[in-house]
Amino acid sequence: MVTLTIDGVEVTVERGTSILDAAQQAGIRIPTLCNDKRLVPYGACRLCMVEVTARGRTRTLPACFNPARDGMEVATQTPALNEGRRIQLSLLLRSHPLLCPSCDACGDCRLQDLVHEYEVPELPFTQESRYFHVDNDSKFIRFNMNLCIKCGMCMRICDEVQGVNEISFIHRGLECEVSTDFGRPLDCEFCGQCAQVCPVGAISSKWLVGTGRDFELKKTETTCSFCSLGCTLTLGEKNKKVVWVSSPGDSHNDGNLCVKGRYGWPYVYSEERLTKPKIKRAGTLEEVDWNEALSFVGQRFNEIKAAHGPGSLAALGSERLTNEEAYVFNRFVRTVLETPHLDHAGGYGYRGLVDGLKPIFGYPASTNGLTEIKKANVVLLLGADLTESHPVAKNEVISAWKRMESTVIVIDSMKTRLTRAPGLYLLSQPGTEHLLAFAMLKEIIDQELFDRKALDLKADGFDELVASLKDYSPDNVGRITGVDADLIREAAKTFAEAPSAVILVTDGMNRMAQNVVCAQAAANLALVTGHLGRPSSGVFVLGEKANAQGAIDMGLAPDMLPGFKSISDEDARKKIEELWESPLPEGEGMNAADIIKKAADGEIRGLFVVGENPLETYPDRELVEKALSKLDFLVVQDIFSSSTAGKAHAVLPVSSFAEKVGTFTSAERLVQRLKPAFRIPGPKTDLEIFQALSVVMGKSMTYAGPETIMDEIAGLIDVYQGISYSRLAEGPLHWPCVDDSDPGKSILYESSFPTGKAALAAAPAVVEPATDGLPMSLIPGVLKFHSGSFTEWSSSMMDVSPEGIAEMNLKDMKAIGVGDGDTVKITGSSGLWIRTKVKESVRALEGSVIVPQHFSAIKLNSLTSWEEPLVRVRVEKA
Amino acid sequence: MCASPYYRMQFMLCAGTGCMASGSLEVKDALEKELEKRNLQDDVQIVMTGCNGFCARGPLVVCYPDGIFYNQVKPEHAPLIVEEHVLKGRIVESLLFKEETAKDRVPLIHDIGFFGLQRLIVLRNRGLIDAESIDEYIARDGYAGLAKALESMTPEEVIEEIKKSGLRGRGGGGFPAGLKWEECRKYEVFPKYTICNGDEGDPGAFMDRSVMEGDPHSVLEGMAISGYAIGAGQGYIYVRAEYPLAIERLQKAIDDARDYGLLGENILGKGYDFDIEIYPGAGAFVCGESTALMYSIEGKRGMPRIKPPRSSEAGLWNRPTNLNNVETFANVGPIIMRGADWYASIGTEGSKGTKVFALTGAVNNVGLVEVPMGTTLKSLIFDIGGGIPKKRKFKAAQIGGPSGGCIPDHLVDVQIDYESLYDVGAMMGSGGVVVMDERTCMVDTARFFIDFSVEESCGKCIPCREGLKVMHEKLTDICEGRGQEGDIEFLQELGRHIVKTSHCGLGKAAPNPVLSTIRYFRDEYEAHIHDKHCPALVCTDLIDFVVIEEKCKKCGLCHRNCPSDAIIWEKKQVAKIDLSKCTKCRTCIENCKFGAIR
Repeated sequence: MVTLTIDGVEVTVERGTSILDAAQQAGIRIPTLCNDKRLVPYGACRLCMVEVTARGRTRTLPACFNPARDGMEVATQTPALNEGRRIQLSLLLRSHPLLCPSCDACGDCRLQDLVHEYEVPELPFTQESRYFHVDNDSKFIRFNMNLCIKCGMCMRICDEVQGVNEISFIHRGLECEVSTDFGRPLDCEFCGQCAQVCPVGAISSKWLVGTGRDFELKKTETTCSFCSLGCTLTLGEKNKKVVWVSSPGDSHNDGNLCVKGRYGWPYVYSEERLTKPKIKRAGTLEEVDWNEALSFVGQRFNEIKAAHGPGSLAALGSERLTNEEAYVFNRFVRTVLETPHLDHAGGYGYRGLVDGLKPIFGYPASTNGLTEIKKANVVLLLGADLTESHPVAKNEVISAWKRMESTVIVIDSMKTRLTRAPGLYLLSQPGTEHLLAFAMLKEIIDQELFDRKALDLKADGFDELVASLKDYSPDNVGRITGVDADLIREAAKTFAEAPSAVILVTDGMNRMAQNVVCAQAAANLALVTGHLGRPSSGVFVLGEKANAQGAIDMGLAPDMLPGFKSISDEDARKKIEELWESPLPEGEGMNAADIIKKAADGEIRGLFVVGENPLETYPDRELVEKALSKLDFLVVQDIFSSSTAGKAHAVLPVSSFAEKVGTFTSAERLVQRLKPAFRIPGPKTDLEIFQALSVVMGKSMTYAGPETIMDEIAGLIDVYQGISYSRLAEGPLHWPCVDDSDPGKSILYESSFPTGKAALAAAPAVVEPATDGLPMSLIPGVLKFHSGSFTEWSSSMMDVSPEGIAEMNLKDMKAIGVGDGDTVKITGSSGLWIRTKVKESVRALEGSVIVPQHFSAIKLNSLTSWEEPLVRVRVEKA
Repeated sequence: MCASPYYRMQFMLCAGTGCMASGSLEVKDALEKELEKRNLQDDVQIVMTGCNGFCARGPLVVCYPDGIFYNQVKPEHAPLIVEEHVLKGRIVESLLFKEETAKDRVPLIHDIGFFGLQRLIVLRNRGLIDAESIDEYIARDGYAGLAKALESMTPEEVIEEIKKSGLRGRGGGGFPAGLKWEECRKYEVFPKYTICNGDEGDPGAFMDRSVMEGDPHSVLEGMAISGYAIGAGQGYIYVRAEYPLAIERLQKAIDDARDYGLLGENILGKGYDFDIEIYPGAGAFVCGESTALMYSIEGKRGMPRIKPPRSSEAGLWNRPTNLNNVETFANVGPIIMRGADWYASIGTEGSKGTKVFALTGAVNNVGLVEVPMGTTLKSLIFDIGGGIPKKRKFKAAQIGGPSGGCIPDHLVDVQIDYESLYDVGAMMGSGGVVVMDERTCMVDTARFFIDFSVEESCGKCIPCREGLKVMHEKLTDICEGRGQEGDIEFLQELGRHIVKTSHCGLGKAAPNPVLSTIRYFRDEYEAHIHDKHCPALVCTDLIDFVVIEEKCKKCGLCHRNCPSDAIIWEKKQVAKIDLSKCTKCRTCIENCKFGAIR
């Protein structure tokens, strides 16, 4: 620590802190135009010059990159310094057209603010009459280099944070401008970070041009509804329309957003949004009013229940429901519908990951906070193509790589953007990821690259683990996977010997079994090497959708009750039955797969689908289609008329995330608020519908609102005990948060495990992946522009990624005689086939084809099945 | 030396870029042909050497063993030289050098003032060896310094020796090289790098080019020693792509040194591995700035980065990196070989050794010279440089390139060393000296250098990017007659602001030409602003184009040379300029020997 004086205020900061940051800690603001906490200091604007007196010598230095040193005396506001700042600003203004009244950045312009603050009275210098072409050719982003002040923040964030490097300065001196190579339109992640970080109006989001200026906007801080990272969003609304999306710099996501978070929102205003309930009469869906619809639904459910018993009803929830909605839905299904058959499709992805972790660690969730990743020395990505699935988490990895020179180890079935970073790449066919991870573990154990004593104090099951790893030698796994055994050894050594290391695992589509073993391998690795219970360590499991963790926490599963309690846990049942004033259905219900199968068999007659589109996203499309058609009664609750809704007997329109109150729990166990920015007339929130239906069905659940539901949750679930809306108003909280004063724990297992000791999981037997006699593996691909199937309703995302195109290795394409843009026929083992366009991609390894999973036109789920997560296919020219 | 026992005579032909441009290769061919014709090819050896330095008088032939110096040799002189010099043993009088002011020609190279007053350390092999021959470099004690360092010195001792020698960086800043190495050695982070900055970009400067082209091994040896001292295994030479010959010769030198075990693995069997790679720059002046240079090698845009951290802590690819320029490295071998005390005995208290200067402009002996630190500017210009042509008056010398300052006539006795130059508002820079006579307008000169800096500003920081442009606009206003009261103060204030707040050394130094000319030639600025007159008759807008009757000698030269028939003159009449026809081309001013036009 060093102590210095800034403008007479003494402040003690960590060694290496810049004078600028030290001043900030002392509550003193130093003006800058090129500084952002996410970026390496740059020193271009020279506005942060301060007078530093040290060892009897006074010098004028930039505060942004000069480190604070012991005994320094810093003056930030002398007349000379302020005059210098005025000259600097005047110099900037000579080549910055003063078109402020027509500029979209007006009111949100750091240059404007400073010119005002420093009272630049007149323009002492002749205006530069240079004209740059205003570039409107790119999607989403507009470049007006006439306004550029060359702070470099756009290109720096593109490089240092996004790791994309799409834009950079071209030319020199006054001719300098920001551009892509040779001025082509952008072909990047379209995250819009460049526009967000631009201190003036030189780079702006295209649609926001002319739609509203900062001071006209009503801003609402809420939580992003796409992936499970839970980035904080600020929605700017004008004339009851969201026209601007950003993220506050002090958010847990550091103000970073991805393309969906920033530009994916137009779906909330889609013309195709459902606004009125519909019920099926004489074979067609007709719009009716809410009363009619609700009584129709309630009545039909009651009828089926009466005729065939509550066990003939089933419900499928969604990872997009808020915690409160998921909780109330759980109560609704179990006490109003009175059926045990409750699940959500996340149960086949994220559920697998947490099921892998829970028996080992105790909690079914990630162990650490996401922002810790950037300080990890080694990042192991186990089947985690973060660039596409969780772009903002990818930024953390980029930071680790670029700022810490961390090593990235990738175990995956395809190349990802992060395989461009210097690191170790263990790439192999899908379904073998866990083999490679366990092989690393075996190598670590065999080479004694870990602390046995420390492990024994923490965990049981070591001998069983060692015995189970018999066939996992790097040589054997290398033979099966085709990965160089020495590379596996090097990865093991690198991981084990790193001062800190994190593992990230994402859920593969419908790969439950695979997800469980991957999570187990990850948890074992972290436990054995001791990369656990410390900052920048641990295992991160990242679900696909916003409230994947919350759905688990709220017990949206046939075998679970809220708070990770088993359905057969008598104490838990009793407590809940008292709270819900109703008995719970006996026994464990059916999971999603069984619900679909039994519906196809006719055993399930009534199905309540909330926020899901099983026809597009569940495996085995043929079966799902059969099941849905066979149902006596199908209710779909959604914001759009999905293909599943097309088969429904009643469709209930709901509000979007931007219109409701609630909380999401992110992948790092961070509980955050959703706040409504506006409300379009017509739809009701899921919560309102559940409550109204309960009244119709004669078993009313009364809650004053989401806030009281959270209070009930806090009373029931241990780890949520200290969480309340009043506390969340101050900021998000990590669970476990056990009382009103608990700040929440971002790092789990620092001193102990909930069950006392952790339990290492034995590895499964080594099974060589079957080929079914088919030459290729099919990998359901995730695209950063899409989320599930509902971004098909987002005009912006469809603009940038309008159709699904399969990706193949050039060699494989040549072998079947197809080129870029040709159509291929992909046939599965059942003989069913799909058609899609194909393009050459360096991501696809030989012998695999990546098909994006988001497009209903492709019907990818025709080829997938509940039982076999890995799909072998034949690809031919169509 | 390169003498073979079978030859009785050597012709050292300068193959520097200047002499090649004036035809030394043709001279070589002609001489060879002539020698063959007379069957003398086994008696006389022709050696193509690196730059001799006396570029103004090229092509040059120095004949050994006697050291006869022939200048401005043309191919048609070949028969004469062979006939007279080789066969008859007579000096070819007509090709000998003659000072402009002297009567007699000087036959021996050592007797020529240009050479006689120089002291050669960096240029120790100039004109003596074949630049492409490693054997000849070794024959002149080449790589002896490296051998000594590896055989008998620890890295710490090498650093101590360099510190003791007082060697300071020759790239401009003058930071003590030994301290830099010591700092770099301190960090236990590997790999480390040592970089040679050969991105010589100052207008008119060609010191480094001549060393790289003429004696490439001296650079490699210095780098290898520095690598050993700091613990680096890899060196880079960053050469501007505009120096293709330097790149070619350096590459050959690297290949030869590898073949000889002087680079690569286990150098001289001492277990030290060091190799060098050449990185050609892409033509940005700013890449001569050390951090921008490192970015450029990394494949990034060449722009200066923030310091701290210093490069010695985190430079190229974030690893400890030592960077020196070509001339600094060329000094290292001799220092190690002959000892720090020897080196420290040369020069002044604060500036040790010698400095190479590229002497250009209004001076007779344009060329490359190496003088001990502490030599006066006067001696440099008048003794070595042979004074100003046509007996014109010395006005100022611009030292240190576009970032340097102008030293006026009354300070011509200033010693050339880091401190003295700084005191008079100039800087050592990389060593360009532009001599200016009375026909130079100082405001225009300042504008020229600012123009260069505006063009070459990378654009990163505001003061340099925008501020220099404002200065340039203001200087243009002054030169074109729009100067106003207060402009001088405006330029000074803005100049000081740029010096104080610019990011890198280039920006910080860029206003120097303006600040130093205002300091010494304020009257000229005032004449431009108040009298709307350019005393040096350079700024056309500020020339009256009127004949001063008292000065006119009625010779008619102006009339005869005027391309637009704007001058009315008859014999024994004072000339008169018809302003309606005058195009202000200044031909009359240049032709008038009496300064009769204002």
